[in-house]
Amino acid sequence: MNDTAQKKLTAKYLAIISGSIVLIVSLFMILNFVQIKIHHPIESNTVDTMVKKLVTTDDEQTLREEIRVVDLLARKAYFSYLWQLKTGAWLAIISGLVFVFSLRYYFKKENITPANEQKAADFWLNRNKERKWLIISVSGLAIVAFGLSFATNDYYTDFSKFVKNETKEIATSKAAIKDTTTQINDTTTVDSTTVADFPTDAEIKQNHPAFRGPYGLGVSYKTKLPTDWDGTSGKNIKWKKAIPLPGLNSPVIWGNQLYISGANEKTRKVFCYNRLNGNLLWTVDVKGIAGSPAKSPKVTNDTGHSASGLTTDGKRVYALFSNGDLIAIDNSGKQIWAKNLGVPDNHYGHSSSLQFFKDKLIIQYDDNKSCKLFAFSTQTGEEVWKTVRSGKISWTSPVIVPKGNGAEIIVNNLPYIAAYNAETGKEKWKVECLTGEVGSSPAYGGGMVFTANEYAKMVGIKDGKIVWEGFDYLPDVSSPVAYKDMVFFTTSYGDLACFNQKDGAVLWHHEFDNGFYGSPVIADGKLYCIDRTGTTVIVEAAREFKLIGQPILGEKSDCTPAFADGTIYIRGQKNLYCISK
Amino acid sequence: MQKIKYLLITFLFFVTFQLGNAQRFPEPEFETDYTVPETQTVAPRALAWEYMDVVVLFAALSVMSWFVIKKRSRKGIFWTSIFSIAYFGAFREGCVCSVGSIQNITLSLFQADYVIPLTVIAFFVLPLLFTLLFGRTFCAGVCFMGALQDLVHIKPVTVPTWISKPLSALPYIYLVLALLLAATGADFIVCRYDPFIGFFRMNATFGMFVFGAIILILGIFVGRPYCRFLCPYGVLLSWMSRLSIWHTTVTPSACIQCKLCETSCPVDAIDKPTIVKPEPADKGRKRLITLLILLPVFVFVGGFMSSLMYKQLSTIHPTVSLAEEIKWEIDNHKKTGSEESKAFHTSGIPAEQLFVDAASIQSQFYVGTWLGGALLGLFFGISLLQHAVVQRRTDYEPNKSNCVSCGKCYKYCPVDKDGKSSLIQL
Repeated sequence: MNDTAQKKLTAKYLAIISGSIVLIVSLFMILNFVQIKIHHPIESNTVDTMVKKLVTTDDEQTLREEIRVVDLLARKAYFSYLWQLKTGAWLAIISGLVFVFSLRYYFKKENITPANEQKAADFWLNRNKERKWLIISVSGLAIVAFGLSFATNDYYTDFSKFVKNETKEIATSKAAIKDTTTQINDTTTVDSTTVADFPTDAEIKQNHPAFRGPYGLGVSYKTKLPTDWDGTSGKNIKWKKAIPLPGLNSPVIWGNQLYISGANEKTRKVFCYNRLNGNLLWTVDVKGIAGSPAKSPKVTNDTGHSASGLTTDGKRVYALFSNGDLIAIDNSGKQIWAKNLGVPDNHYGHSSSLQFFKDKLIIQYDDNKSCKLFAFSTQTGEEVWKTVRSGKISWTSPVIVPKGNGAEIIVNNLPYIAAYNAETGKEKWKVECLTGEVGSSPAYGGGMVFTANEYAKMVGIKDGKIVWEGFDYLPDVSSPVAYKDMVFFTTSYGDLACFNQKDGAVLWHHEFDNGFYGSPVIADGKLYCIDRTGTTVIVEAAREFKLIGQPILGEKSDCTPAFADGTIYIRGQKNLYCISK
Repeated sequence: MQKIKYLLITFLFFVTFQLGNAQRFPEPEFETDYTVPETQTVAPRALAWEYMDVVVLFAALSVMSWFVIKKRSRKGIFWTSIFSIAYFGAFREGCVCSVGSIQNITLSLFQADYVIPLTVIAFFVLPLLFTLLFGRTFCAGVCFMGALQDLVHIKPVTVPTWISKPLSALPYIYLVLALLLAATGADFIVCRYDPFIGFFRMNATFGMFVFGAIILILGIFVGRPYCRFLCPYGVLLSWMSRLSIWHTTVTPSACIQCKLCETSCPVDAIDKPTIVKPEPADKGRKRLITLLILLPVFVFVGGFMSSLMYKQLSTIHPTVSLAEEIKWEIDNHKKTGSEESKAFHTSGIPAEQLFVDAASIQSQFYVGTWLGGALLGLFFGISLLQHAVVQRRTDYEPNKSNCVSCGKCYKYCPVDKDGKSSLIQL
């Protein structure tokens, strides 16, 4: 064997060895990658689970130590993975270089030998061949692209449909940043000849006149309520009625009359039931209102055209729909007054519920152009005052906090929570604390106001100043409720948490299987929370967690229950239920 | 300060993907005595080094052109390419590279607030200028990507026409896509999908590692697969090279048609002498006129077909992608839980505003896909026209457009510069 042949043989062995190293190292790196992909130390939830247990454990110190050990192991695993990766990469690169140079040497040509005789082809024959393949390939690509674009066209959104008078909208939105509270003036005050007729505080508390009960505060004063029922078997279901039109508003009750509304793109109706037997007493078809648009605005299915909760003062019931139609109907089903507030520019659909204070119907009317708070005369529908608030659109509802002879209206929007004088609409205080899309309404109790929003924080506010802040168990759709010295929050992820009103300390937390969109209501010392499957989680409204029951409805529900003596009313997706022992 | 900003922008575009994947262990939740060090950001490249890069690029191009044109030294070309891999690849970690610079140039043309660094302009212009003078000497080995593929090209295999022709359309599509995405500020895809940069930075994602490995393994048999079938900058260089003043030749003097060089080219860029069988005069004329008439049709159809994909392509833009995500959340009343979604919700920006922004970007994509598609239609039409014109050759010549001046054919030619053939001596 001559010298060149010997060198070539060495190069061959070198190439085999280095190539094998590259292959083995690459294989190990791929396996390592797959392993890390399946069990990534950073994404392991072992530590999270252990941290959650810290709240309930009796031996906190031991658990802390265990967490430290697990945490350290995870870190070690992560850094050893990095080390393996880096070392492997270096090994592969060096071996790869050896492989390439060895192979180059091994295949190095000593002599140039003529290529196999190729038959010279005619120029046009070659060109035609090339042209053919060019046309085939480009046509093929075009057909594939064409087919793909058609097949996937519906999966992508044409966002140009969201651009409508955008310049105008942005300008309006900017203008709205400055508060421009419209004061009561002589021309807009209630006609002096009208008689002020509104219920007393005691009457309000005897009924369930609005979304989340009296004043919208989430506390009912009813007792002897059932805690066990089954919508599928009929256990403790006194009656069940199919609801003629869809809607997400929750029932409101005055006396023996129960009101709900329903709507679709073409029809809007208010229904009145005899709450004792479920008979439909009357239906009002909401139509022919001056200024009402010919076509309903687009709303998402999860909001619908009648998400706004009704309110009743015992003499009239008031309802608002997605197209801005507002109607007042007396308790016999006769339309008293109606008006259109202008079609709200709302990408989900308007969903703020109605409230009343004395003889004023309070409406939070936020859209992408501006945020307004209205007070209309309950008797005539005339505007009493209007406050244009700073900030951006929200989907929350106002709550009324009675104070002496007057009241404050507490309202959320983005990024503020603010209090307004219920008589004049003047802002009393305002706190910036919310971010994102605000859907959760405020709560009030013990002289403090509470609010929260997912991706933001929860706050406890006293006299217009933040007293405490929290960042766990933030609600997205449901609203908090304050009771005694506690405040309760439910979340879209199934968390139910109880906090200390004074300092925001977590008193207890429990995670349920399903998320909550309906808001919790306190009644008879218990907290009633309906989850999205229609199961009502009933716990004691106390500083210690005690589960009372989880009765099922048998259908989904995103509504909030209404209460009368010994009876609970729940609006399911399709049916209205009366639950009583 | 401005320069640092631009450098950072450029740098960020290049490394976003990798940084995004550089996982960092979260801080412990417990209070400890340990002081977490401040997050260190990679400092921008010192200005002196930037100028140094330009000087090295100029020097490398000059030396390479000298080896290609004057010395006809394959060894010189090889060792210059090794230097390029070491300097532009390993030391500079492939940034800024001329291939990616087309995106910076495009972005600077379409976005007024982006001022392009001089270094990037130099990296874009110098190779084009040298190509205009000497052919693709940049591709020969100054480009570290070409050099790397050249290094691993060990066992050459000729790619049949039915594969090479369809694939030759890809660089044009990639170029148009890269220009569209850079012009709209959507992404720098040439950098994001650079198959080799991850090796040099030792931080390739798994996908890019596999892609790079496939290109290298393929490169053992097929000469420079990335340069021939993907490189968008190669499209510009091939145009320049057609017009080059002093392009390299297979033979240093007169071709003796020994056919030794016939299969020597790793990129199949040696044009053989043509045998043109006469065809009826009106046939060629008819073909040419038909193609000339069809040219505007190709342009229109290209534009129209591409414009059908504007919605799909626009989702590459992060704003449109986010808008799609938020729209999905709204429609389904669920949260995706992604970091982007969380950040958006925390920002307090109304979804409506996001959708309006997305609509504006989509309209840019609509115009862009029309123009890009029309351009592709034009390329296709011109290519067909080229195939309809007779090119008479009597010798073996490098195809100016495709030849990467690697010099591998030099040693195959038995003729020296004085016209003496070693074959004759044999």
